[in-house]
Amino acid sequence: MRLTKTMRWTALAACTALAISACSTGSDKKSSDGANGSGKKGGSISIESGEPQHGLVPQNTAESEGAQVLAQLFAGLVEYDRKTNEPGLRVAESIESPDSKVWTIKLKDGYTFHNGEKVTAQSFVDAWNWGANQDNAAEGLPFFSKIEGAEELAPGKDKKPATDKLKGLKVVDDKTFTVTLAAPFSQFKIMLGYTAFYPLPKAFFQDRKAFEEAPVGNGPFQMDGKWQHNQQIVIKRYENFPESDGKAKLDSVTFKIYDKLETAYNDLRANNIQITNKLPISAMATVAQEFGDRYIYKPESGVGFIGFPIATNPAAYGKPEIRKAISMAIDRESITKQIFSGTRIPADDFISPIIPGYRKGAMGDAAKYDPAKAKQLFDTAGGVPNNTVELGYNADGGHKEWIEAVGNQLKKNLGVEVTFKPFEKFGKILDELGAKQYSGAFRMAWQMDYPSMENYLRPIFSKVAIENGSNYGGYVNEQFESVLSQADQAKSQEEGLKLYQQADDILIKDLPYIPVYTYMTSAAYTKTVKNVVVDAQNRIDLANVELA
Amino acid sequence: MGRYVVRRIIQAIPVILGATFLIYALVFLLPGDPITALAGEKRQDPAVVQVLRDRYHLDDPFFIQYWDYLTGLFKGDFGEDYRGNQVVDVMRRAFPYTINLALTALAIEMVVGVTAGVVAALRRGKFIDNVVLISTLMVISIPVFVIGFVLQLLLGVKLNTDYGIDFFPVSFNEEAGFRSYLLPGYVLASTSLAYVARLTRTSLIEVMRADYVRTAVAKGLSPLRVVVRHGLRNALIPIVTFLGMDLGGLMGGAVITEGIFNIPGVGHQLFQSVYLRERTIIVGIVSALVMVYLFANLVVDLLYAVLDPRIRYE
Repeated sequence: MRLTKTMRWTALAACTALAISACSTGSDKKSSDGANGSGKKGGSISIESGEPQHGLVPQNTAESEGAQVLAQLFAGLVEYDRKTNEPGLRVAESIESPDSKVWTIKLKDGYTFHNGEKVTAQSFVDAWNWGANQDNAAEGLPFFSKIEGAEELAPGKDKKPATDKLKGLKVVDDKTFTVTLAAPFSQFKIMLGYTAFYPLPKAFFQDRKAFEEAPVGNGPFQMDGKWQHNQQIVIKRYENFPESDGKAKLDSVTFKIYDKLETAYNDLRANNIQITNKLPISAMATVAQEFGDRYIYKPESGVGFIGFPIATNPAAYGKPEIRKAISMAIDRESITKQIFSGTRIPADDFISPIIPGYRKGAMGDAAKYDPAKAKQLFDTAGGVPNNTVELGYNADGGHKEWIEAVGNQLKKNLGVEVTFKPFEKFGKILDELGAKQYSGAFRMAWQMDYPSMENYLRPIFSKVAIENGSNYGGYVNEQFESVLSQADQAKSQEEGLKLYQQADDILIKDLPYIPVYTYMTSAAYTKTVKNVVVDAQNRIDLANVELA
Repeated sequence: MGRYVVRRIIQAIPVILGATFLIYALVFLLPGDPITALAGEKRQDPAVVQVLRDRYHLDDPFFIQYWDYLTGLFKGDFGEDYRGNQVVDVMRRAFPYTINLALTALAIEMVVGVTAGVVAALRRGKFIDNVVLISTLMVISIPVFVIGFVLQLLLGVKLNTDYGIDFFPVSFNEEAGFRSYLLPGYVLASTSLAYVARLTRTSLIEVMRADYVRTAVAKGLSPLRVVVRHGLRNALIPIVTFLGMDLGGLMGGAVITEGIFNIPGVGHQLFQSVYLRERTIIVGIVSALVMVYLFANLVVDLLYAVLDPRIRYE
């Protein structure tokens, strides 16, 4: 749990964290250097972390700190290429489906849990059944909703699950199982790299409490002792890890748990820790100079939006022209530079730049700062009632400054009155939106769960997401729905991608939310380590890190 | 004396009960749902929310929830937080760090503060007196987090990187042991230290003018004996009162210092728990702090008799 790390996750609404297995594809230049480099094997390092929010169970971890630890302890069916984010196979030998509805998953040989138990089809099926059961109150529960029979395990409020097994999961033999989805979904394979889909050993079901403090995974690292709360989590190399190029190079890694990023940064400068993937804003001015090429700066998956209550306040925000005018009146460049010191960059698509399918400049005019045109468009469309725009934000996440900057720009460029409304928590905005007590625009952000365009579209803008997702504005567009479902039923990922881009285009025309900025990863490491790669989910691939 | 102590302990019971009730009610009134806070800014599945609400009886009326908590408390059960941790475990983890930190700070206050105060009082109006007055004024006027970050950067980072002296850890580090507490202890003590120095100075100056001190000097006692036995002992009463009160403050008020130096203590835990609306942890820790406060007060009252035998307890 992180309270002050405003740079990344407290800032994100819907910040479901992401899982990526510690990659070993070696497609990245840095890691192939490492394979034949002169790095010493062994050694120990410490890296910055925050206190994970829950006991360390993959199905119950939807936050970045816990997911980063689990990503080192577990290996999923699928892993994502560190550069392109394309999904590749890891524990799975093959994942195939003729119709995107029934998927057959075959496992590779040789993977074992750290206690020696073999990783079998049953390990996955048991884990998913557990996560899908509402009685277990797992945070990852929504990820199983696409599997057939999910509604029997999660019948909803005040109801008891009728069974504890998903109808759609069938174990064929030790190495094979099939997954039947409720409806075809072309991106299912991509989802499988997410934390919630890791396997669980029998030990978990025997003693959950013990497991939460010292999880037993199937990844390149294993726990070294128990999680020392608010202090550290120590992991060490798992010698029986079967991937020849995926074995951990280091003997052990300590996740040192910090409360303040400033403190972690000072520890980094004193070489008490070797890597941090979260820098304090105060370091941004000097870090490039101080760390040189050991400073990593690249886009990550989060996108920040201004959202509109289209359903509850159509009089003010119902017209796409008004929303486009507001979008064009926002000077993204100055907000990202001056308020965020470059920890964000201007957004030009609903999709993050790191996702396969992102198109640079996709939003075209709508993302270009053009006060004159904006004002014209705004006036022609008839403006807003009382000539007043209300902007809501949660006061606990460092949003005041940029929301006020947006407000001032709207005042100046559109000639409207702007009022600001701080809420103590983001959830409060949602409650009041739902109860129709609040009908103004609001800030919102989205971080992906798995690197697919679909993950930026359905969970935020589809009709089903009004009830069961993050469509807080109540946007509904039948055409968008139909393109989305066509894309889901596509026979291949590529075909799906094209259709998702069409759906993205519909959003760009309608602008139910206005993309304002994309989050940047900023990480730094000391001279004592090398091969430090931060992936799209802002995780460090620790298995490949070596002492320099 | 014994009866006095028993009476004080009995008096403490309603105070503790009242404190738990107040804190429980205040946390209850805090806006924001604890289960929602659990998921950050994400919307949770309604069924999951319901399961958790039922598990922690969050839909019961306030008084029933409080009653449940209280009866649990009498059985020695501090309850569970919303993430399934036992509150007792959380407290058992956090308190040792804070106790170490508070005692270090208290020791620094006593040794440095009282010494500076005595020196200043005896050299009243001289150079050293002015040094003490000006430096304490400076410390009082600089915010704690500035002192913390500056010392961390200078002694933790620069001393290490520029001069190779790795004596003060930047952040708390189990292996560094006692050294880990020195810097944060000083930062935590700094403001109180300045007060102690000033208080000692004023108090001692006053006492040194008293008749019995003049008598002692006239009897020809050595200056050291006059100052320590006759002067300081009587001057210490307000200082002991201040230090006793301060111990409570040091225990619970170390949020900033614990944050800067990454000490996983009570202040740090309390801050996180308030943010996450972890009612049981907040009430548990605050009740424990109230007890520390009451106990420190009792000790202070008993110390009066040691310092001044004229004081009797009825």
